[in-house]
Amino acid sequence: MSEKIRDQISAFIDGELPVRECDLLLRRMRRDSELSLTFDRFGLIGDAIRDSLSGLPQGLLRNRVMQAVQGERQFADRAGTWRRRGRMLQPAAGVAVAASVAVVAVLSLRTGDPALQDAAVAASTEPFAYTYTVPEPSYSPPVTAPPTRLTNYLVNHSQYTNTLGRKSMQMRILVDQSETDEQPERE
Amino acid sequence: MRHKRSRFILFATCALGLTLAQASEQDARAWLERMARAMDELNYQGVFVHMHDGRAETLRVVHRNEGGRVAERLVSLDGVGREIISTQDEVQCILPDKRAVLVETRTDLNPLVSAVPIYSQTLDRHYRLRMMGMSRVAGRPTQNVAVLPRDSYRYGYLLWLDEATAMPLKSQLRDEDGNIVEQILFASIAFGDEIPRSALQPSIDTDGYTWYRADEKSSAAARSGTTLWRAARVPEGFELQVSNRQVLFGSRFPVEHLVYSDGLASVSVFVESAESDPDPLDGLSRVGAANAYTTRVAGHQVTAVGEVPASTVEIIAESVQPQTLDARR
Repeated sequence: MSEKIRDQISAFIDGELPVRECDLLLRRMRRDSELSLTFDRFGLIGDAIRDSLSGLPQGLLRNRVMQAVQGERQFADRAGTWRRRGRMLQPAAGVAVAASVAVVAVLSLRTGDPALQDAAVAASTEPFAYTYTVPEPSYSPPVTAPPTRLTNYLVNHSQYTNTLGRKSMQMRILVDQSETDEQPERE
Repeated sequence: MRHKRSRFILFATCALGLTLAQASEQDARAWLERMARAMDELNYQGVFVHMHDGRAETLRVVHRNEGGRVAERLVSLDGVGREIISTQDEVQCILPDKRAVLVETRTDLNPLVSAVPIYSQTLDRHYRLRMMGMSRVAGRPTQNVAVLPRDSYRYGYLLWLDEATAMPLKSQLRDEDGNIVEQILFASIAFGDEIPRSALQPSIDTDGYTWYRADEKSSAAARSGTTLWRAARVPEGFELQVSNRQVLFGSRFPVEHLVYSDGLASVSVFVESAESDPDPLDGLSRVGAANAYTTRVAGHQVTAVGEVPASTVEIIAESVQPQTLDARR
């Protein structure tokens, strides 16, 4: 799953995704169970961040997530050599941190273990410290998939553009893999 | 007497300014002609960066001209490493992420390819051409040329052309307000007499990939269709250049393909039955600087796509209508 799709899901949950893209995303979620699960997970994280989950002290989770994200930012700032990549990773890192914190919170709620809840409350009063493991991306081998209709159109159109435009159009076909995620074609 | 002299100076200044502007325009046109020839005729290989929407991708190009037979290989050095290999006969797009190869057979139906670039006087109505001084790119001196759109229905270019060869070492696609839509910048480029044929071979083993190519029989049958589609409204300067019916690769359904061009920018319109796609495009889509707009007309899906602003593809797509035989041109 591409970073762009994740961003779209996140924007959708925040109500910031354009209507047309909402339709595409929903259509895709109906077909793609992994996407659907990701949506559920993000929704859960969003609820957690907004303290919508019952049973947690008001503001606790949000503060911890914000602290974690802030910690990531400081880390990224220190990584001067990889500054650009660091900036790109910040949102993903933030989401990863939020995910780990939310999972802890949800598990504690679901298990109903008061000790865990107490520990969480106690942790909020301690100087900020946390550990988390960045989840390994699940690798799925590429499978044969038909090109999208838009890719077909672009390849065809590239023959009918001027010299400069033709090269430019071909570059777009090469680099814009994200559009194939948005508009999968089914024959 | 003094008034007469002042008027003469004013007139002479205006005349000189006009002459210089015309000279600049003629020079720019000559450089653009040289550029187009250089891009096709020279042997070169290089690495360049393609930037748009805050993203940057690195690509390698290998271009070979052997006795007028031109072949080119474009490779994305980032991501999954897609490749496009173009020859006189066909264009192959190798998509490792889809384990697919798209093959587009080149036809002789394209008057644009043979005639392009058409940097003719008619372009003056829609673009201004200007020489923009000199600078350096990738360690080479350049002559800089601007192609400026006169309205918001087309993009313009700023080009940094290699002084020795006229190859565009840097180019910026810009909208009417001067905002950069897309930028291409060579990090390195080498010109040479000999490019080995092996340099044009794909680096990807395509064993097990699915090959998508247009079915010739279906295309022939498609061409016998009688329905005509035309855009009733196009921005000034865009004229119909190509109209044909074909079956695109990976599809079983015929597509009507129209190409409108103002001599520099072009827009393709694809019309196909709405039933051919259970999950159709809808509204505006964007791929890099290219915009596409899809709408439905009389049970058909109409998509206009081109390297033009969104408003241009929308206007054209929304005006496409089927025509009766009497309305044929």
